[in-house]
Amino acid sequence: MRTITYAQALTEAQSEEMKRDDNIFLLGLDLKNIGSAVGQTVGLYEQFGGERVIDTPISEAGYVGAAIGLALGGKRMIAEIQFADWSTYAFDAIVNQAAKMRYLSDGKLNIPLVVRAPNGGGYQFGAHHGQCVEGWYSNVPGLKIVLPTTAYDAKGLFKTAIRNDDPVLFLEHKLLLLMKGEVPEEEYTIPFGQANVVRSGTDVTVIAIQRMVLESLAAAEELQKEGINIEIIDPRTLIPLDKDTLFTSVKKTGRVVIAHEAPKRGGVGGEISAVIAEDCFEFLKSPIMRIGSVNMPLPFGPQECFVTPNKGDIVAAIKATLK
Amino acid sequence: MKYSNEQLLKMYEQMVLSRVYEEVIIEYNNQGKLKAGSWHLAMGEEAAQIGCISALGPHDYYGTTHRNHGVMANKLDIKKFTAECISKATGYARGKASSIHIGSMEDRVLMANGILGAGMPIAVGFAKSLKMNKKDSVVVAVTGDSASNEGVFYESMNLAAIWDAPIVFFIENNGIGLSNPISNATRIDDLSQKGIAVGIPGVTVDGNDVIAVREAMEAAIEKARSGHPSIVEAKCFRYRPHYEGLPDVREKKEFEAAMQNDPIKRYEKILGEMGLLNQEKIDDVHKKKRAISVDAFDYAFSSPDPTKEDTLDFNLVYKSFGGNLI
Repeated sequence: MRTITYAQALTEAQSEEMKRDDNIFLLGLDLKNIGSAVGQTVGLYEQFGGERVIDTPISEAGYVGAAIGLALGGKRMIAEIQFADWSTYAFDAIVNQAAKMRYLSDGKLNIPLVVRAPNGGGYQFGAHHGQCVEGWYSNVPGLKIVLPTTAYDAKGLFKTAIRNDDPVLFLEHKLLLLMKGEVPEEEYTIPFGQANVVRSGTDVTVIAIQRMVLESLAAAEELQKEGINIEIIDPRTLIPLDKDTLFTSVKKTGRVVIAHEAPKRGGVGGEISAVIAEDCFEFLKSPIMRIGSVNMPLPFGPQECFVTPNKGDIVAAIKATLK
Repeated sequence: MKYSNEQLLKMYEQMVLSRVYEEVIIEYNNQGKLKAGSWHLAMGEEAAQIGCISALGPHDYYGTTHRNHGVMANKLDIKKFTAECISKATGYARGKASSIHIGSMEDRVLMANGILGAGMPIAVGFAKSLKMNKKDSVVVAVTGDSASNEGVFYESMNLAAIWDAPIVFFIENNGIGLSNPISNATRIDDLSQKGIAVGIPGVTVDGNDVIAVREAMEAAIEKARSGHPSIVEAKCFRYRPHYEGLPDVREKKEFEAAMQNDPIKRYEKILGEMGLLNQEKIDDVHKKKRAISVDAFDYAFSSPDPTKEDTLDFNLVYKSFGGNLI
């Protein structure tokens, strides 16, 4: 099968969807001249023109809010935020407006809006360009949260997101955007709420998000040499969360490590841990372990790696569950 | 006078309905009859609000603020609106919105907002969609003076400007926030000048003069229809505290001065001089509007409460299902 980058997969997904449905519009920064900061929209302006691929001034609160208004006017909207960290400016639009409008209108209104934003570190750009923000949004009813790890998942999940009638926070991962993966030429979609069992195993379940999936795979290879057999599950969407797949795995292994790149305190690992404890407590053979960044801001430059978690942290946590 | 007698009297009746409806709210609230509700009354601002809605064409949209009871009593079905205000099952959103989130697309009313200023970019985006859809409609996005200090108001004006959006920003300047006077909120005298920063014009009018407000809004709406957004500021005075039951920090003499300039009394004088109104007619209009208001509350009081099942209906949170969303 051909391989393309995660960013190219996203471009293809947007291009194919915008071709399929001329009611889809894209708002964001630097779309026309550079095709977004990591090339996620290269060629879309040439393909669809300035009426549909709309460059905005730097005003996240304004243009994400405007995207909601456009959605109310019958458009299907993609609003790109150049770095997920800056979604704080659009936090009200996403959290208080888009996510609540359907309920407040008694179901009469709905907001087909995908907010796309690159999540996570790896570029060593520091505290305002490298955060994982999914935890900030995971406490918001009315929102869906998508966290693709591979090029294949990015394309298939984006198509589902844009065909969806509710607001979706689509957090592509900055470092993974550059990675290649197998993506078929033919059309496919991936439903929300279906976790991916990335690696089957019997001893410990590792639930990993985005970059931590790759770190977990490396950890699993290392531990395999010691005869420890790891199962890795990528939830792919946090809202909805595929609890069934998680529970099936936990009931099999009885040991759980949850790994994400966002700070550990208040991260979604706590929620996933609680969900498992509520339903699978009697199957657990050891305490659930969480891996996340150190609870501090990201430093600029190569020292970023002292804060973000890695393979070694995952190996240590897995071993702790086996003690 | 550019308006017909019928138009002039309609505005009068609407202003009186606004006033009397809010008087009934105060009465019932003081009697402890209102168990739910979001009572940010606009009493005293009738000329600004009615002048504004009178200028709307049949296909134009109105983005309301939370200070909307009188104006919504005029623009919406007063019974359904009242039921919504007190969270009844017969309200516009079956009680989930109250006045603070009231909206009705069928009536071309964009949703009010509990987050001040947050409705502005939504209104701009909606206006852009109207233009993209080749509609001839305009959006009038209303804000108070205080919310015009929000950063998002600036961003909204800027986007409206670069998109040539068919929108008018209408600022009801009642001179005070919850308790913070405008003198401690901005250094400019006329809020209509805020558009200078983004290259859109603005005018300031006497918000106690319903005809002046209507004329300014009609001119701004026509400009907006051809893709020229602008600001209209109406300076007015709020007779009630920020919210029913809160103390009012303003001095008595401010109220006394404002009462001298009561927009309804002023308008009655004008219509009286034109021979369109006399005391008998004034009393009659007040009586009829009171009956309508009381009827609306009777309807609302006798309406059923939403059930727990209605309230917890998950179909109202998400439209597209798939996966475990609960």
